[in-house]
Amino acid sequence: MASLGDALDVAATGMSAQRVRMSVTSSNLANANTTRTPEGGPYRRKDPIFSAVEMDPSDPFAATLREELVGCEVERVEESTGPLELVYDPFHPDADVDGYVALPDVNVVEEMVNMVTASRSYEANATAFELMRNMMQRALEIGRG
Amino acid sequence: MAVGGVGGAASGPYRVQLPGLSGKAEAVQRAAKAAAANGGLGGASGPDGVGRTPEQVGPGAANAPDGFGQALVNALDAVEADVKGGDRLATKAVRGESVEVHEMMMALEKADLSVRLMTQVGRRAVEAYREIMRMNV
Repeated sequence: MASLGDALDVAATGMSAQRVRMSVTSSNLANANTTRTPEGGPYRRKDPIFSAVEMDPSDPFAATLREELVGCEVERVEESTGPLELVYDPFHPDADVDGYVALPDVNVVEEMVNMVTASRSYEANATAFELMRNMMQRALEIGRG
Repeated sequence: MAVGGVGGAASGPYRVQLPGLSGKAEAVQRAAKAAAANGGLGGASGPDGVGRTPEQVGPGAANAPDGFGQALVNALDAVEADVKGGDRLATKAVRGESVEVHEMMMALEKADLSVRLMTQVGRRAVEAYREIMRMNV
């Protein structure tokens, strides 16, 4: 059975996942025009993959009742393998034989939207945590009056 | 100095023992000790008017493995774990080590909730104990 602290931990995992998403988005924005990386080639856009994770896998009874709390974790950060953006610039030091430079496939507008989404989700999880805490404090006041 | 009859008066430091009531008080104490040995509350002793000795009640509470004493101990252990967790994260943050800000704040909030829960449990336990002590058998 989920205890007092487990329900609050779910909100914590959500906030951690959104913070990772924010970091990845800011990496993409910072490297939107990076043509050189340690691995060679231009920067590839990164995308976090979220997966649901049971908060209390050691409790088979809770799983049977389908009452297990489900948190969110970042399974991995995936690099995109889509086509790169080719720009004609023969005087660029990284231009290939045809004069085209391969730039990262980072769409700045899309990344801005992802940032806003991550920020709002972060706030939503924080609100959920606070409201749960208020509910528990109210329950502790039963019978005090 | 025993004073015979109902409505005996107290004189100086001597304890008034009303006959009939003392036998009942002893019966209550015996029953309370038996209940404490079986794992009930810490032994409640006699009615008002008869001197109550704390040492009769103290060992009874300590000998009760289940019941309010154990519930208090469990609550204290949980509170200590939560407070220590919050303390650990806060120290890491102050030292400048990388710690998730929201995890630290959440740990501190959980510690606060645990302390409040423990306070309520303790208060209820003490209230219940007092209620039983007030029982007029």
